[in-house]
Amino acid sequence: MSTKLCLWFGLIAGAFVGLFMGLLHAMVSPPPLATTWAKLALDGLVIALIADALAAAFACFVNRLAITPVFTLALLIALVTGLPLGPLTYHLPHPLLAMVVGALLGAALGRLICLIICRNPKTFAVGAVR
Amino acid sequence: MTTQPTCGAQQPGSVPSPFSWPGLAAIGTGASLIGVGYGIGTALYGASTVAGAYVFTAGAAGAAAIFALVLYYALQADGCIISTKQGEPICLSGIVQDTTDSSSTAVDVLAPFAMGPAGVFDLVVKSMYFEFVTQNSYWVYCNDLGAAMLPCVIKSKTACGAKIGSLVGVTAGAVAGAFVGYLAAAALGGAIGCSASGPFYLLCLLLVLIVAAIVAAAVAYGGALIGGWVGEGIAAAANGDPVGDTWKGLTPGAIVTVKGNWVTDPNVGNNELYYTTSINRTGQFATPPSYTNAQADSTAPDDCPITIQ
Repeated sequence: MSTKLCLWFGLIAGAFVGLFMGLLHAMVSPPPLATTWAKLALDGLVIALIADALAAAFACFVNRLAITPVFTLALLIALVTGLPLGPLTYHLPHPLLAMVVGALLGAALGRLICLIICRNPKTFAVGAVR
Repeated sequence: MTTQPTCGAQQPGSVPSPFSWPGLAAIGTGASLIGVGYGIGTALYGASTVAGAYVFTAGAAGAAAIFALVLYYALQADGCIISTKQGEPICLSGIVQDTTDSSSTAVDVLAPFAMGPAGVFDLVVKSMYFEFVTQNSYWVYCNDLGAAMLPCVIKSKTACGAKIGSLVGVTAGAVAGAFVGYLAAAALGGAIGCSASGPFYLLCLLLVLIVAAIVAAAVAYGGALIGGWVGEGIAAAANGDPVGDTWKGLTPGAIVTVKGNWVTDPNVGNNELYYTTSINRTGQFATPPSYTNAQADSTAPDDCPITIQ
């Protein structure tokens, strides 16, 4: 499992943030109201939190991982991906392009988080050592 | 080779992990399905309502995510759709230290497509087989007496049926889910009526998109579950499983001769049998665990054709 978990969490959150912000942009184009950075960041955060919470729940359930560290990691990655990618991907011209860009940047951010906090590759591998 | 192996890490560096082709295939398929959903949404609803195409795309994204998830597990190299990593067929013997049932009723019921091996038992090997434990390995498992052990993995009888069934089920579920998600979101959108002048306009629209995705994902997941249960049932009824049946009867202290596919685990780096293809129980050690390799040596000679010097 190890650092791959960060990559997956970042990729999933980034892809969904990108797609949904892209769809949102397309739905309200031209925008009736001025959209602020904070509003877009909040929207991105909501999407990233939902996506990563579901991903973390599934990962813990199937792989029997420790719940607290995995959910903490998911929360951290959702914060780091949702806040900047919300405003960024909203301004991309097409929802599918926003999804691809979001996924790539999300994966990179997730990987970065793991490089910083998960130095031990077996941190999340419960039962790896018998 | 009869020198007692060092327990734990064997060589510097981490295990070289192979590129995740199932992951790439799942991501690519999921992204393609979202693109297809966007095209279908635009064709079906683009002319009638501006938002309809995008809401349908959100539903398609939820369904595609579940399809990608099921596909990811289906494409694992576990001997179902993709064959296991080809190692070397070996035969060895020793004393069973412990057995672990890896199956989970919760996973069997709630995520049948993610079923793994049925279980694993750790074999305290005879010293003449130390090479099978140490050669090219990054990690050696030992018991609390420091005796080297080789994990022997047992294939699940029903996992393959569950995976194929889930794949069929999620295909039907994803198609239905995209439309059901769209309808649910359209109903919700009509009910709450997002006001373009309200401060939470974007959040309101986002809620509609999220509902479309979650409802579609739930329907697709339901399809995967039903398909998985059916496949699991068919596999359970159809296949004989002599290795699994023998494994279920194993207790610590059993003296066995085993055969199987000898590989290095890609995650931990230990050598193991993946899968065990034959278990021949030849006796029972009198004392309770743990056991030493010397005790394994003291058991009767096995009938393995190859002897490692």
